[in-house]
Amino acid sequence: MKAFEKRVRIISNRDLKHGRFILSFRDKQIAGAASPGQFLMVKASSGLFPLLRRPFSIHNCSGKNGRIDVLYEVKGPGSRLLSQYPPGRVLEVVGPLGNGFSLPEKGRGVILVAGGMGAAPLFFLASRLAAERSKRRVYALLGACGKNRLCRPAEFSAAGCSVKLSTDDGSCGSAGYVSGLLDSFLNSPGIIPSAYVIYACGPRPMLQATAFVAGKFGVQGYCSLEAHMACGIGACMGCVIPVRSEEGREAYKRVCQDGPVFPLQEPDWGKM
Amino acid sequence: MGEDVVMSRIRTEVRIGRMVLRTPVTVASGTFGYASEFSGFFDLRVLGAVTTKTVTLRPRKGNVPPRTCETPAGMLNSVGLENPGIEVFLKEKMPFLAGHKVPVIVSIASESDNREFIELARRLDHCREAAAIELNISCPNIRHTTARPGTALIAQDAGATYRLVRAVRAVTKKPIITKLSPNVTDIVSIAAAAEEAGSDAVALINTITGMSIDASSRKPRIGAVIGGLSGPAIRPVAVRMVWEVSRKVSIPVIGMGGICDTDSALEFLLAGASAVAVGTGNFLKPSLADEIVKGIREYMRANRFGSVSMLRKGMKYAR
Repeated sequence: MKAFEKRVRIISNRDLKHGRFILSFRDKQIAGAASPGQFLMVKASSGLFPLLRRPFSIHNCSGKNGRIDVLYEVKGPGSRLLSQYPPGRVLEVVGPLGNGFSLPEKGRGVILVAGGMGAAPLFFLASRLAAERSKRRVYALLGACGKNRLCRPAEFSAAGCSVKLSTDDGSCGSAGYVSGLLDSFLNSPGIIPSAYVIYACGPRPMLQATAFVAGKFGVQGYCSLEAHMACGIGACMGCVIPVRSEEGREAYKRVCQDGPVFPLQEPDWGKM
Repeated sequence: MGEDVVMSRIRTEVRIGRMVLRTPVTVASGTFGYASEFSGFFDLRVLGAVTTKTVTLRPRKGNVPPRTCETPAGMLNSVGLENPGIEVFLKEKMPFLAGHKVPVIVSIASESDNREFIELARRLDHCREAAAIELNISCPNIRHTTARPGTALIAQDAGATYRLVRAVRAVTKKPIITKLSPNVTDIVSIAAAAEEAGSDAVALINTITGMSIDASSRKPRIGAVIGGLSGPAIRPVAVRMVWEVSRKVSIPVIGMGGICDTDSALEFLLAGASAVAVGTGNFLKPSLADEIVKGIREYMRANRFGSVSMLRKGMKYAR
């Protein structure tokens, strides 16, 4: 796994409304090495604030022309600063980092489960699966607290996914959590759960619920986790999560280097 | 100063005991992993030495997350010395380090008493690949719990520092570097105790203890409540301490605390340090240490310093 430390020029920084943006840049080395589920460490300022780089998952990436898209939400002063950067501005980026999703075996159906902004890395996976041009069924279960927070359903659909939506407030799609949507999907007639693999990303409680549903139906799955990181390259030991080994031994694993993708049953959800 | 020096032959090497650093730049323990994390970003041989993450006798799980958070011009951490233990370190981490032809300073700490330091030093004394031993007697993140805040560190007591360094000195011929804590009233007296006990160098500063609370959740931002502050925020404190210590002890001082570019590294050398260590800066820019090595050489050439020892005496006082 090779990561690059680069200075890149912003091509565009598109406002998607509701505090969301897609930032694009071109770097053939990073794009050529990137796989779905990996992330970048981005320095939002060359000064002392914010001091540390911030992790951003890769939303989409073209190995051919080197274009990389980062979907982000304005949450704090760092992302607010980033959202104000015009095309042409230089950004310091390290990546691609971490372990991406293990791609599903041939013929296996795929269920993408996204909570809010968790859709960001799953879209890269959806595009890669679409590029396979196989007969594989890919479902995208997208959840959010309300209609405006649903993340890019039209784009997932255009990437060949069968899209199903849920909102906590019932303003769009089925009312309730996306883990509930997953539960009823796996229960629906004609669906053989064991023929699918789940890829999930979102807030930790949503992932915990997804892991529970996956366990209930005996479906194999992976989740991509988010964490506060200082280095992003495995050196500082700052971004650890509690995990439970198969023998039940407790340990910590680094989200940046051992993850950010973990098997759904590996994190010790009760201790997070 | 040094006008007669042939400037194409600037001498950047520094001696610590019998260890020779080709350049006066190393990395701060705990910020560089076991070096493999950084080897893809620059050629490690440009460094004077690599300092490892601290190793203990037994594997250590470390502290409860969240372990890091950003603070103004700095960061807090409470990792709690998570490491695989000396056995796994020697078997799995050392071969990679040894393959890079750069001196390896192995940082060690004890989870219990001095006997663990002595046992670790004995093991490393037999290890050809270890160029020097750093005694981490100043980690603020072990034994710091909400139940027992502020439990004393060895580096907070001149007598305890003297006794430990003396005991380790008795079991190893490797150069000993004693890592000091800024969380003291008089760091000079602790440095002097380390020197008197036979330490070959002192490294300062470790992190300054600190705390940060998220007002909206009313929770501390660090799982262990108290953490160690690092980054540019602590640099003036570190430079002051390096200056004070360098004037009083005759062993080399390795200066660190918030170095994030060439100028900030030069501050420490001008304050009297023989070498500097890049710490939190490694997180901001993985190739920073490489940039600083080049920058220092460039500065020495431009300002006609023929050696690091001349640079160390290069500070001009007001008036």
